[in-house]
Amino acid sequence: MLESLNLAVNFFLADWMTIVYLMLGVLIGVLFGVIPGLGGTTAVALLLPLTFGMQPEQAITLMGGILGSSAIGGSVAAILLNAPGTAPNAATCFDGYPMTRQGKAGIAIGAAMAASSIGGLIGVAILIVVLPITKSIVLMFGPPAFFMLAVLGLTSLTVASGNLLRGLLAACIGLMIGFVGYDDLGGTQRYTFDSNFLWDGISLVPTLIGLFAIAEMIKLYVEGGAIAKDTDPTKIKLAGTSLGIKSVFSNMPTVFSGSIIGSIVGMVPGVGGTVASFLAYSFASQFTRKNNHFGSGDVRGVIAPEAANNAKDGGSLIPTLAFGIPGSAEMALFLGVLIMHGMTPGPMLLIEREWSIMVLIIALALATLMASLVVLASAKLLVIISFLNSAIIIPAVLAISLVGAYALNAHLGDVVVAVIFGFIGYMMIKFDFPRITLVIALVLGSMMERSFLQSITIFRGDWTGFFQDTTSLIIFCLVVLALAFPTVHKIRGMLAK
Amino acid sequence: MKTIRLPFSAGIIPALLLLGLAVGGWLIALDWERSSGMFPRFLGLIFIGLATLELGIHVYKSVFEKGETLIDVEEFRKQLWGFGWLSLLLLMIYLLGFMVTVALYIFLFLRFHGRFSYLLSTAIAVGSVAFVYLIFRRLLEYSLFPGILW
Repeated sequence: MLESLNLAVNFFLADWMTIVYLMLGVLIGVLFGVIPGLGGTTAVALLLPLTFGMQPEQAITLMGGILGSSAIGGSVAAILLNAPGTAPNAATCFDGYPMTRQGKAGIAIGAAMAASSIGGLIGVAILIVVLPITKSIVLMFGPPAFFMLAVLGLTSLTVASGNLLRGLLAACIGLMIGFVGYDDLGGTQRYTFDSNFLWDGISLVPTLIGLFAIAEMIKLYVEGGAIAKDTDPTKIKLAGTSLGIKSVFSNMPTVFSGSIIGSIVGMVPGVGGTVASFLAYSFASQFTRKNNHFGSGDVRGVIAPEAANNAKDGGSLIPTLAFGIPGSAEMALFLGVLIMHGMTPGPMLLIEREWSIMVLIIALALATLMASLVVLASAKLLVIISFLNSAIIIPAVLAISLVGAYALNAHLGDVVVAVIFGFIGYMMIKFDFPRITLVIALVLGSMMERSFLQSITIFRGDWTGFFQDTTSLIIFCLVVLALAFPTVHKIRGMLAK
Repeated sequence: MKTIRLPFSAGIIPALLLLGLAVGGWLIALDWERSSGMFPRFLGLIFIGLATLELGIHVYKSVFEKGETLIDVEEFRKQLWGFGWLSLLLLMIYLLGFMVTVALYIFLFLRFHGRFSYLLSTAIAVGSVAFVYLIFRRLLEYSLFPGILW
């Protein structure tokens, strides 16, 4: 492990372009994070095509920069405008915005940045500690366990989406899209309708660009006007950021509890940053006895969710890298980057390319620090950016998205795919179907099918074999629990009424 | 706010589409070779079941709970315009190629949708083309589709 860490450090030191890519990722992540409605997912989708010509580790660095910084950018809009840049920043609004109204915006920003940096570093430290353990666990998993694990990942994501039935339907669509193309195993063309373009299947990158970047732009078009509203950016005063940073060091238990909650929640596929930050906020508000002013401008109400929100990135990389099961939309897109660069997540990635993972870990750690510095230096400017008229952002993002979709295979069909998935993505937003479940099912599809067929071969066609394999049975019980949880919750709610 | 009233739950439309997709996909998969078709057929049955359930819920809402949908005309008009702008972009790429389209499309959108001045619209359009040219053509050396008209 130390050898891999050494290789990764040398990689950063050997080529100055790596640092440039990291800085670029951080700047883009902060910019997309600060603009409500865009966020890190759109940034990753938009930048995916730019990584084609890069070395895999450079692409990882660029994406690590975005992943580590978008949540930090999002906290600026949450604190100063009461408009969370990304969904997980919503918990920061509770105390961040009241602080702004009390003239303590600088303190809140300082506290948010310091808490984000420390939380991000704690998350990365937990990732470094847990990964070697995961490596030995993951090697014990056979095809039946991997199949069940993928089912568990999809199920927990679906449950977390809040609409079980529509989540499962979205997962079915994703898996079905994954079938399109020539099947090497059985030598069959599946859902190709005699089209040469569909022979290789539907490319992941145009699909992601459509579902996230284009669908979000259609949504923005319909909503119209400036993205952030109701506040005059010129009236915001930023003073006392150093006081905010100091307040983090005098509230270290809140930082630690937030970071640990964030890391643990991040490890559970589908639960994500929003749950992590709200859980950390409610934990801090319930267990703070001294001077509890949560909800009316308590700095600890900014520290706890920000620490959790940034610590979750480290945690969510564990299922993504070790099992190939992404925990969030951002991680699903990141998985797409890895696959595009010939790196298949799973046990072999941890063994064969451990140094590449170390590159990502260093990139994430540096990104949180750099993003905090960027925000501290330019918070006021960033707020003005979030007031940009959507009419400027929409055509630029649309045009660049489609150029990116084309660049992958130099085929116009990919542009059409991106546009079609843009429509589908928007319809999914309108009818409340979770897009993330579709994407993760699409990403997991081939792994699921392969493990399913291998398992059936191992069991000589006997389906009950899934319940005779201990690991797979334990995971199946977790699937049942995950599915039963919302039903039991609903019944209890009905009984209480 | 002007609205159109649909006498049923709007969720019926996607539910019907999904059921059609599920049944169609499953029927096609019946013809495939054993290993190619096993998982799609297995999934297809689950998909059909879920889509039927979703449809059933919306039919129940429409019939027994008198569920109806109010469509905001203004929002619907904006959605159509949004789809229209996106389709125009696709058509322009096909006809004129990427470089011309990026410039022209951004200019048209800013000028006629955003109501920005000619000067600002032109400046942003030129800036965007320069960005695409520098990143995709010069730095990454991709050849972009030239369009069928040239």
